[in-house]
Amino acid sequence: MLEKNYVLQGSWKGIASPFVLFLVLLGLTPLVFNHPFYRHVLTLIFLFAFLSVAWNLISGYGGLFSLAHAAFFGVGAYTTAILYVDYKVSPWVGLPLGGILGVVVASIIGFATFRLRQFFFVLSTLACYEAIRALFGYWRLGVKTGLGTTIPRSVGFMNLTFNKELPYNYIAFALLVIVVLVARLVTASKFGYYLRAIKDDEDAALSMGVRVPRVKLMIFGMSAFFTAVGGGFYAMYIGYIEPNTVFSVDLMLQYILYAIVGGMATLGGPVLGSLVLVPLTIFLQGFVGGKLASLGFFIYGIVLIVTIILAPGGMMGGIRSVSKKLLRGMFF
Amino acid sequence: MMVEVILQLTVSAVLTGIIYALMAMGLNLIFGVVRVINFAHGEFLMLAMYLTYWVSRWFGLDPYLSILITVPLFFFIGMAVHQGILRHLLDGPEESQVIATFGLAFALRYGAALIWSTDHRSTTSKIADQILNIGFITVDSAHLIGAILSGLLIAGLFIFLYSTYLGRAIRAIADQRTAAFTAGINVGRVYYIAIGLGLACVAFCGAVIIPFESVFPTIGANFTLLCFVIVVLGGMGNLWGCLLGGVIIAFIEMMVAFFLAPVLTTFAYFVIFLFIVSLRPAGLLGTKGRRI
Repeated sequence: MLEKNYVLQGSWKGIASPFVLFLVLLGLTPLVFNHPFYRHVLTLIFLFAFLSVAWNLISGYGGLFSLAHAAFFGVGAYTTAILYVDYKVSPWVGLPLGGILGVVVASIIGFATFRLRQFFFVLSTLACYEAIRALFGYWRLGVKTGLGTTIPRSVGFMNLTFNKELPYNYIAFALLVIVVLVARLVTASKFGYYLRAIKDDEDAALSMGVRVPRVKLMIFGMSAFFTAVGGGFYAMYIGYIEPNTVFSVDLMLQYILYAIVGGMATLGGPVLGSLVLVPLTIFLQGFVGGKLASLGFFIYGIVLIVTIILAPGGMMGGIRSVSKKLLRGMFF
Repeated sequence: MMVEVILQLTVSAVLTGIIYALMAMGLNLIFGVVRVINFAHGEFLMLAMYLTYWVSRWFGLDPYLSILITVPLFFFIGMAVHQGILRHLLDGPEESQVIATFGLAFALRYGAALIWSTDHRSTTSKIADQILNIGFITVDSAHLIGAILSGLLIAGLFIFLYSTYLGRAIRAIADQRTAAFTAGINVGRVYYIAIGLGLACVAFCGAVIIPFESVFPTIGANFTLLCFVIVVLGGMGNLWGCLLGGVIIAFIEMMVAFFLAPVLTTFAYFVIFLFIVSLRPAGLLGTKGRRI
């Protein structure tokens, strides 16, 4: 019975689910809301859902709570921006290159820390993030652009710069769909079983012949790649980067929060979390703003604590238990 | 000349290191007994510094005297944090404790920014702004007094842990939780005390630090990392290790800041951290099984 459940969970059948419908509907929203501001909100929703799913790969499915993602994000943002501004390289090349650099950074952290368990891993990712940020402040990379850089706008597809919001909407949405597919592939494959085995009991997985470091490194690399790509897209979309924003834990806290509130280790959780919470974030930052700008992060902190105590499964956990009860009411 | 500089740095490092050690001991006590890593440790330090600042502003109380108010208060804050948050998460996965204390760190950091704005604030004591020259070594009295007071508290902490019933109960739990439980120690109650003591240590540090460090809401993050590195270097759950780790880290910090660049100190922590965890994960003084 248990085995059967696992097979069902891992098969492609599950993809034709309410979640796909939800994603399709989400994809149509930019056409419904044609006000530029709403579309801006939608771009951010897609982007943060993308980042949130990427973070969920290592921290949800892998069970390794990572705080190094702020570093990957920053590395991606700076790679894309420097290549574009200083060397006139198209962002379409810069994004994957930034992603690859993110993987390199992740591998360095990974090699050093994957023998470590939970707490040590969290600590070392935090230390790594702080180190990279410190290096950035010191080193200045020997590039022509200063650390705070405005990215010159020259409209064109190759420059990933548009006058309208809609192309951004759909590029961000495409990124989201890609990462969701990857997450789906990961959970549906043998690799996903290894991952789950490691999360459940690392020693047992090791003794059953799972190559633990390799699996961890791969999932960490994937997660870092997407996060760095997200950073690059963010840089091109916002048009201005500086270490305090792209290397900030504050930004990372947002997509971590969306994943946790939505439901960790679920496919739909991070997307759902972003859909609900990104508008709230924008409201808090944009409308409350000013002297109360810290209010948002104060609330996030409280929400994190309350969620983890009262509903560790997040929204998806809630939806699951409700739908289970409904089904039981119908059929039994 | 070189010898003098290094001697000067060593003296400063020992003084700062003792204060760091006390700070890290708070973290280590909580980890050793309750097995929870407090990611909001630096934020509590920030809060203690603010409290000291306001007590001295409102009542004109010397920061060193305000310890009498802040330390007991933080002991109870620690108990409240356990009652409200950590108690519910002890049986859950470790990541839920990480998330909760991480969330707490953010709530405290931005709560402070909300209430007190992001201005840097500092206060000082009449006895803390003197410069003492001993031979060719210069010491400022703020560091000296801070180190002496912290040293006294550390000594007191050790006496408490080794010679009172409660202290021995704390060590017993850190050593063998189940055995301590079967021996009749009320484990749940000792958790409250351990967390209270951990935060009391932090409150004490906040008071002795504020004469030479100004406080602002984001100061905590760096101290959290600092405490982690000290704890890992000395050995998780080993309080003697904290003392050693604190001095070593302070020394390295001074050397890096003096010979390379102050910005690189964070990077230095990271490198030390990685070396320790890959070469000797138990830390310098840590041995498996024996804690606190």
